[in-house]
Amino acid sequence: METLANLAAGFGVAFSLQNLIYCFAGVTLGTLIGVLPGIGSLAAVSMLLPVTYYLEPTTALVMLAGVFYGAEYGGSIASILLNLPGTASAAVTCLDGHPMAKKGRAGVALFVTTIASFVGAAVGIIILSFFSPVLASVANNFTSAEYFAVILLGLVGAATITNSAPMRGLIMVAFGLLLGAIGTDVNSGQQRFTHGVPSLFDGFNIVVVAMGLFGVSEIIQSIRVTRQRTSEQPITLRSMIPTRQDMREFTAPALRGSAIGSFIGALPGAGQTIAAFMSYAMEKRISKRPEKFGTGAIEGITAPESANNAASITAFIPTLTLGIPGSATMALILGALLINGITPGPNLIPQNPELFWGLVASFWIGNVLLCILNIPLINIWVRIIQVPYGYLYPAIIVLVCIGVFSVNLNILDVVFVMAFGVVGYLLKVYGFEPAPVLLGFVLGPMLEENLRRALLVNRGNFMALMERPISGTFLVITAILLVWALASPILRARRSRAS
Amino acid sequence: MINRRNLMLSTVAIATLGGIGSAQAQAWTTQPVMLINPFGAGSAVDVVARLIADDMTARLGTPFRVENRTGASGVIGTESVVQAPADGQTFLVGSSGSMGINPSLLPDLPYDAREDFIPLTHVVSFPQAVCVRPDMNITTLEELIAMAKEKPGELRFGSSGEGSTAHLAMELIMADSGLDMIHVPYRGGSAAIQALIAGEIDVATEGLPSLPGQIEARTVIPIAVTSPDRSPNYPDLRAVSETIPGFDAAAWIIFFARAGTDDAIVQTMSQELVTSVNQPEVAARLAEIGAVIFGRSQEETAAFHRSELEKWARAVELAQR
Repeated sequence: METLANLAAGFGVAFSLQNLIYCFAGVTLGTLIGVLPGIGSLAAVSMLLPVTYYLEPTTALVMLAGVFYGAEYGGSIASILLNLPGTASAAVTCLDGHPMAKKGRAGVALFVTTIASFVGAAVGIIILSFFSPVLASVANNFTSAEYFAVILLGLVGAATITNSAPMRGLIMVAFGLLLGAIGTDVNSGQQRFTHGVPSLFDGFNIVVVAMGLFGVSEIIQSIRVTRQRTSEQPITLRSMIPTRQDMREFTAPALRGSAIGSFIGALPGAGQTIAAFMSYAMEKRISKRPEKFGTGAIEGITAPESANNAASITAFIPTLTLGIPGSATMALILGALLINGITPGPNLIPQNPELFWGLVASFWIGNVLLCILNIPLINIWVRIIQVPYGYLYPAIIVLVCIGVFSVNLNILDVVFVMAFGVVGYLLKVYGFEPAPVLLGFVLGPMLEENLRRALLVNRGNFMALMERPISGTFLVITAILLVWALASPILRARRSRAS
Repeated sequence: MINRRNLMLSTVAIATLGGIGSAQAQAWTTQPVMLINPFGAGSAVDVVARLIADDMTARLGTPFRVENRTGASGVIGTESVVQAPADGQTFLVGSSGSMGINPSLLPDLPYDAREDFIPLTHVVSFPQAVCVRPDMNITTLEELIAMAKEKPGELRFGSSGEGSTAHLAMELIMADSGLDMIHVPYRGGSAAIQALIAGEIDVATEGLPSLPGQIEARTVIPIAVTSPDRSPNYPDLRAVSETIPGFDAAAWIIFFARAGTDDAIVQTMSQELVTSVNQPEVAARLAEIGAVIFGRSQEETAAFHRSELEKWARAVELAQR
């Protein structure tokens, strides 16, 4: 009840004209940078940071947060229509979103991802409002052992993400792991494969890898193929209406995706991309028809979109309740508070209730605005990417270059993104899929870092990982999953032989 | 036209007479002066750089801009200053990590921290706080030293990374008091603080500016600051130097110019930086975020930077032993 009273007070704050305007500005800008491949919320938030000097702290937070979660909505538009992910976490949405568009169901895909995004965000906001203290204390008890166990579960669960032969998928995961190994090893401070090039000291940036493998490679491929346009027509509201079958396939994955996303998002350091990958893998694993994935399955876009939006909301839990930013963008948002003289920490919410509840209320307002921006007004965004390919693709290449350059202001990143584009193109030509590369690249270094740290802290004792309740539980689930994955083909073969 | 020129001439004349320094009239064109910060926006270092940039823009009429060229522990941004022309339009916001530790820690740097840069002004330092878990029931460095001596090689200390200021400050404490603790590096200071709260480590060192929220909530207990003196914001928190005489491992910010920059510009810039950090409004904001103002002259700063390079070289050697 107290929560509802707080929320009501929060709406009082969020509905002030100034906060409404900045919320609208934030989510609109967020959608735009989400639509445009390459430019992400990190770049947008850091460019907006100096502006927040002159704003009320609540207003500043409302706007920056709007950019952050708004980008997750926009990210799926280019994924579906062009097979180019607008954000790294929308790379998963390409897998089934673009096949849907090729089948002439772009409108449905756009509608479904928007609703899935809203469901994910709504679940995230409810969890943020009611269960922040609980989730924060869980996140607070996460040590390297728990991180290792969760990431291992994610990697094992997601190893089946592709449609190609399992061996090809594994080769790509291994390639991603190797790419992830480049850079300074956190545990020893040693440099690996950097060849003394300072730009490699921190490893490849995830934006560079994702945009190169998925975005630039798609554009290179399009040079050779004169293909049918998937987005010739404006998207009509009628074309967006899903079938009853679609809606049946929507509900459960949206809720499961929201749950996974909410959990992963609340862990500092995990983030939306991992949430999207994990929920996609989970849907594929529990589906009765896993072969449908990759050919335009509703579940394949619903789960990751609800997951990355839920994660973008619950990412605020450790940031605001503990003062621990989970990502670079969150650190910037905390920086905006610091500039305004508010010190983040466990007492932030008790001391600034109007700030926290005003922000929560603005999440509701912002997400409703995003639904309006992405359903009735979808054609504004679609038109941006409906420019003829001859103009659009060079423009996107330029945007990708600006986007990756803006992260570190480092020109070598532009060279790298082009190189990854060529690599991604070659992979596609030889029938390898890039999604597992990204997975290995994101999860591999986290897996290694946390395992080695857990062993360092526990003096090399592997059993210590099993003895902790949370990590032990996750490791047992992983083991069951592995046994099931190995045994089920054997059982199936035996059964078919018997019949 | 004539009126305006007369006005400009008289302004310059007044400035000269008033001792503000006529050099600034020639020192900078109307082009923006770039202050390169090799670390991300929103950090404490960035807040300092932006406060100074805003103040100098307002006072001098030339736009001063902060640009964040991040990556490779600051090497990329630092290198970009060496590559810019030595015309006094580009300066480096140097920190103890990038301009104190990296020269000893990283092999094959694309520049020489001594030869390629001229130290201008040591503007501020940030005390780092040595923190412990509340359930360890200790409140002083002496108690931590006693505990670590009782259990050699058992206590674990976390830092924001291998070779970070936080890591090496602790290496210096351990060397000076004969301790043996396990170093656990994390990706960034907030990850180390989270690990301390989660109980994965026993000790963590982190910059004071990012800690007030945690200290107030008593989720971490600060036992000492690494600056030579106590922090004005925490007068009851003792300095490490009260236990280990002469100890100083604060994180500093020194502005640098490229070697070869005209000496008039070097002196002017150094003086203007001193003026900026001592402006009442700037000083108040700096104190608020936990910075200790130094505003040292160019000569003092150069001497300080030399001694810092030696100190961190020793710390890196200790850590790699």
